[in-house]
Amino acid sequence: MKNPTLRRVLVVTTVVGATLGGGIAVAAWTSSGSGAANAKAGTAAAPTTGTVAASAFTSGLLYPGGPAGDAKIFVANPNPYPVKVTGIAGNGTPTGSGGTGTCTTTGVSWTAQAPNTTVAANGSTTLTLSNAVTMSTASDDGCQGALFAIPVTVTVSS
Amino acid sequence: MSAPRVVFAAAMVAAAWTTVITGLVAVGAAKAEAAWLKSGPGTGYAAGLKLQTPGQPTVDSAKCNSSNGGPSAQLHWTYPAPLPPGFELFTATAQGGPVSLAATSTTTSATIPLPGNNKVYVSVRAAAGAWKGTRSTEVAAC
Repeated sequence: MKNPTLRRVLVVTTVVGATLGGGIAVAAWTSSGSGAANAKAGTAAAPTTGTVAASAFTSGLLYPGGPAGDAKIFVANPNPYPVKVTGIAGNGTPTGSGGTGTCTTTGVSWTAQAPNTTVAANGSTTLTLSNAVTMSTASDDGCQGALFAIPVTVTVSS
Repeated sequence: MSAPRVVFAAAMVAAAWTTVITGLVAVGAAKAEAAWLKSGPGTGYAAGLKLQTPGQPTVDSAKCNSSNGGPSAQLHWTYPAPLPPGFELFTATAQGGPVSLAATSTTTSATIPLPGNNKVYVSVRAAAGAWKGTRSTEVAAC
């Protein structure tokens, strides 16, 4: 193109046109308006948990004053879509059963967990949480070999 | 190109990018709001160790007279891993008779005082806080 003025005009026109076009296109899908939506949101169901047998524990066992041990929790997702377990927090007093004697004071404490494990739609999984529980020296002698049930709150996200 | 035209073109480009970025931020916010949290009560489980019974102690050496601090015995024993926080050693003047706590140890060996010059029976058990294991088979010293 031999005419420099014409060339400048074409270049400027192209750049300005492209940018304006892009701005208009984006503005189109971010624009807002009023009206009634016809879709209805579903109701999310809370996760549920199930029993874990004492035989499932082969390591990470607790004893008074010992290191943190393993916890297990069976989580079921009643929703027709996958969810992620984002948090498990203790919310009650643990109880012990199946030990060598009376186990009133367990000494067991739960440490809040954030496993971020996905549970399939209408599926379930057993989570093993390392170092999730500890036992104080206050644990009763009869708690030896016991299975401890620890009340928790399980939080999931879509 | 004249300076005003350059300024005008630059302003158009800036406006376009501002619109794009605003749109992307809005989409991101919409996605974050779409996620939901749902909580429910449940039960987690953990299991307690059962303290094991140590092996019958072995007397490594015994001093059965009253010289140099009185009778004593050096012993060791075995224990299935992992080790508990501690062990308690007991002595009895009669086999199977009443026992007295003679010493504690955090390892699988110890030197303990003996209650007299006569034959003494020594046993050991695991201990962790209030948890006590079963005493081992006794071994005779002196």
